[in-house]
Amino acid sequence: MASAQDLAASFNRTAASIESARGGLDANLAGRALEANDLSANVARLNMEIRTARANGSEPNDLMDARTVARDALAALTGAQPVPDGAGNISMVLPGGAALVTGDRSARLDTLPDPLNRGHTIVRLDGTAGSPPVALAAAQLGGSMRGDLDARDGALKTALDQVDQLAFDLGNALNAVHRSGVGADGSTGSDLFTIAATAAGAASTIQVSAAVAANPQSLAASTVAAGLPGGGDNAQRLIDVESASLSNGRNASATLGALVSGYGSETRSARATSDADTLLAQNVQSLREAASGVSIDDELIDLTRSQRAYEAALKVITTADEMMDSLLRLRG
Amino acid sequence: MRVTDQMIFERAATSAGSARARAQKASQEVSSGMRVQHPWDAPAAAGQLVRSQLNQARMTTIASTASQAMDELDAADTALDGVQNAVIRARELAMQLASGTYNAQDRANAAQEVDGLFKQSVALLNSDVGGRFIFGGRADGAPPFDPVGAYSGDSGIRQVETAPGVTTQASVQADVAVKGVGGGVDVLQTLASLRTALQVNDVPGIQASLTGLSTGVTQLSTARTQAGNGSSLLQLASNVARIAVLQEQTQASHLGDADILDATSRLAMAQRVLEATLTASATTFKGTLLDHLR
Repeated sequence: MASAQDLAASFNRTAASIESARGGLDANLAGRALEANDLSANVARLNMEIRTARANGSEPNDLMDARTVARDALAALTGAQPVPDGAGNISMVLPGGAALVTGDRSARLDTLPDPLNRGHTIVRLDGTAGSPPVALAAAQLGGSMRGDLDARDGALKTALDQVDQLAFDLGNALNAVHRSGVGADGSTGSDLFTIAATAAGAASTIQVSAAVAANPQSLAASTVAAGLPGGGDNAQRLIDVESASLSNGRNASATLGALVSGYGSETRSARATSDADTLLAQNVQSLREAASGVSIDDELIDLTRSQRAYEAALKVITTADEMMDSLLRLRG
Repeated sequence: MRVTDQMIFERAATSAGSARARAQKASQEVSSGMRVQHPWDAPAAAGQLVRSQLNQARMTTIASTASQAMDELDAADTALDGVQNAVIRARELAMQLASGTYNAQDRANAAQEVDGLFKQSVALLNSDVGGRFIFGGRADGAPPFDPVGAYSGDSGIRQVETAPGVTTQASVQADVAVKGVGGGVDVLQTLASLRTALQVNDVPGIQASLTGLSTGVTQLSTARTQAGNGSSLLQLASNVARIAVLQEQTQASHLGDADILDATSRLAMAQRVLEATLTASATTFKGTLLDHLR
């Protein structure tokens, strides 16, 4: 009985841990959506200010720098790409083609629970032109938000689905054996576990049947009533379920091993991809910095060169002045 | 390629972070003694570790159950030894008092001794281990023999798992060994008959009990042999299961434990790399024209 309760509690804890991790990613998404909204509004406002400044005949370098910072942060969060237009604006377009920023107008990202995904957050785009909100699939986003969605609905969901399936298969297999046995109180035909009707959510809800938990004498350890009270052959059959094939063709032990290996592989692969992408981003950033960044050494050299030219020009003027002065004195 | 100051600072931060992460990982490995701390450290090994842990649990249970069943069979053997000795003594008394040199009083006195042997046998056959009456078959919740030797147990045989999916008999069938089901004699009934014959000075009855007593001794001896064989088998199974647990532990150790020498070496190297990275970064920060144009 204690082992059955441990098994159910282990499934419950594992499912709760995975769901908690997925819930943490939901919280991340909500925070990132708010941040993305601020950045989108910033880019739109800076577009307008830059246009105004240029109309007044000045070149607003500070505003352009600020827009570049906001643009990069927005791209890192959402994967939105900058698209310049002829008027000096930068629009920000999501990988799916939806516009986050168009000129001086910005759209908003909302997060709300999705009943089709256990209440986990869905990201929605509130358009800029009065169009109705549109739900965004993971493929229509990029950056950190895409990463959150991929982790939540990728490796973690796969692991949760597999744990659910294992709980469902194992629980039902144990129930089938338990139903065919007889308890010390003579009861028979009862389930050992209460399990959901489908695999979805089975790990989080599996419990030792209330009737068996309340009356341990109903634990069907014997295959026949005549074997009571000492018959333990059905208990042995319950143990043997561990070695029996489940719906995936593997036994429970191999299924658990494959689940852990699969999750580890997927996580490792994601880490490797992340490391490679980080390196790629660093290289691209280096190229951009090399082209447009500021090197203090370069600037100092330019400054020194300019100072030297200025000093040379001064020297020419001083020399010419002295020559003119000498000529004037000769005439006098 | 132009190298801007931002590139220098970002490269320094990335390199230092990477070196620090490697040092941290090596440090965790050394301090915990575990190579596989997360499934992504070594996915295949992590999966094998899970299976190994489950196998360990299964084999530990088998070892423990076999050991417990062995205790019960040893207890059964001890009890059957006592009953066998009682029957041998009763046979001696029967042979002795079947001769004409003894009178009714002698036989009445012997009847008292046989009565004691009978009661002693019933008590031995009602032995329990941890509350389980070992001669009751599956009806092991109550003493299987009543004071007159009637049997309330059943013919169930306890099966114990000695290897995954393999079971062996781990109980004595008292209905066969004591009650003679299947062609033997009812040992207790034979003792009771002898006691009655002695009490009533029935010499032919005493003589008639001799055959049953001899058969009973053989019957009990056979049961003891079966119990002894079963106990040996369970002892072997328990030992094999314990060895299997050790093998699983060894395999788990190979899969998941850190090679401390290797991990320490990698820790030292990671620390050296971290120091070198920090030194190189600090030197790079100084190397600008600003330091030379003053």
